[in-house]
Amino acid sequence: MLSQDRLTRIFHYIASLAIVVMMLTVVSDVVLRFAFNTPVQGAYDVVGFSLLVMVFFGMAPVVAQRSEIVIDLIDTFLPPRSLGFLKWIASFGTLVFFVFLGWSMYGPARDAYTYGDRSLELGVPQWTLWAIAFVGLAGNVWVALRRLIGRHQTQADTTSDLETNP
Amino acid sequence: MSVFTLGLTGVGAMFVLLMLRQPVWLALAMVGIVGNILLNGLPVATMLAGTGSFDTALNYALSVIPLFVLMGEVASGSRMSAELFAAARIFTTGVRGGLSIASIAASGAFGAICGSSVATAASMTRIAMPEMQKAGYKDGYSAASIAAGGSLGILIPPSIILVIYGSIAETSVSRLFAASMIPGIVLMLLYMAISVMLAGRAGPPPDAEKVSMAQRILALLRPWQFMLVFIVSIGGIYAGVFSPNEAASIGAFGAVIIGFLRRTLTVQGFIRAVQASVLISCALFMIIIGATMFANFVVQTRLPESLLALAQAAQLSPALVMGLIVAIFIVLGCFLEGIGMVLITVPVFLPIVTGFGFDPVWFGVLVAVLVELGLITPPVGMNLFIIKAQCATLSMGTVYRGILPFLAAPVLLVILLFAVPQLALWLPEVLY
Repeated sequence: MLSQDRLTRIFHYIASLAIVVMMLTVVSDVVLRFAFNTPVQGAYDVVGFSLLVMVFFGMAPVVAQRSEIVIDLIDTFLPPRSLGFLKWIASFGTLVFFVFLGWSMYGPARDAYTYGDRSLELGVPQWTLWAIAFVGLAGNVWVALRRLIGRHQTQADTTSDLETNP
Repeated sequence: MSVFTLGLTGVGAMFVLLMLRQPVWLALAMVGIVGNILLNGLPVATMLAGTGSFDTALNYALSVIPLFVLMGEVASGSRMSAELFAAARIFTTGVRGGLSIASIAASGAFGAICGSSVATAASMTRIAMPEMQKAGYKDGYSAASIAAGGSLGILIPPSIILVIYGSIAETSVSRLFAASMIPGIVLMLLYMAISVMLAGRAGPPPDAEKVSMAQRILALLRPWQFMLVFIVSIGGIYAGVFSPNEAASIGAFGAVIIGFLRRTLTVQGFIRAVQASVLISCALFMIIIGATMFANFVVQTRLPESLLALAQAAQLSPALVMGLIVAIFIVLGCFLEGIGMVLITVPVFLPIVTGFGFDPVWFGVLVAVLVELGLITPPVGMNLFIIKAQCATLSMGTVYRGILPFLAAPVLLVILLFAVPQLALWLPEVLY
């Protein structure tokens, strides 16, 4: 099984590639449209798919690196144990959310497969996009679970977080 | 429990979760999901959560966010801010408080490429703070100039906050970018005016070095590549040549090419910039997904309409209602992070504001100014923390005291926006 660091790194690279694809697709579309009046066929779809990949694969490194935005005014008033408990609740809530999201997405994904929905320009079956989102989500669940277990083991440790201050 | 009470309870619960240091996205999502379950039952709530998140991640219009973030990260990574500061510095030679003015001007110019206040303040601190300390400027004054200048990135297009506001308010991003341009320039001039007024007490005498007008103009022309990126991308939107997505892509691509050609950007630097863009953008998208769930819940409780009806029944004047909304934003800005604040408040306040006949584009600019004020307002001004984090010897008290006079500028701009709404509405009316 992949270690958390390796999995996060792979997901981070995939999400990074998606941004670059987004940028290059739009630039090519603009250049070809202005220069030769022949826009890139399916640019709209490619940008949408790349964004989907970036979001669902990019959430794992955000959770792993604790890059989420947190209002930490309370930190100066609370003892480390209470603070550790609040962080554990945040990690637990993150895991619950991703599991709930996966469950919520199952119905619409199944419908997309059953009814054969397709994307507007390229005609890509929508279920494949849902499948990509599920792969990203599985990584997010895994990272959130690892964070929860890690937090549980070092609940008293409150100094190593990299959360973003407001 | 009535639906209205449920809505108010939900908003209250969300603030409690935020204060209990739960991530902004999680607080919004949890309240949204639980609220939707209570209102519509589990099957509808799951359907809304599943399709809402997927649709948000697949939304072409939102691709503008990572692309503008990438443009800013590349600009930060290729030392563009240093060159802009150097140009502004030469231009202000011989002026008392010249380095402070230069840092504000360079921040404004960098904000026009970068779009992020935090990135602008961070890079300008590294460049301008040592120069000002060496020249004998008081620490509080130096830090405040950088913090104030850094906040301009939110208002001067491209602004990530305005893109997000546009997606919630279903308002054209191009119009918002046009509307924020003049207020952004006015705010920059107000900051400079305050800087000049304070320079007598807080700054050393001006340099004796003589610089001719020709040299000054030449210095301003030196960072022409950055002007080119700005003119092509934002100018392209104003001219109607590019959509915001295209402008963001062209801007990001242009910044990368310029960085490579001038050897200020390496392949490693580019990879770092892309990876940083992923982290920033995905943190924002997580908040947007949470906020979509929260907004779904708030809309169904009809909380904004009920508040609007209450205000109208109490015969409150539009000015008083707007005054209350501004006061709430200012108080929230002291404690909340900007994007979270916009996503939490706009779904509630926008229907009230438009119900009283105010323009949503004008309100978007007002919100951006208020977020900007929040960035430099103690005790939780993000830009103040950024500067403090990079200057170990600087005390937070010094930064707080230094920033106080500068707070007058955004407050004055808010008053100006109320007195002269055309300040924001004139340019979009001319362009579109």
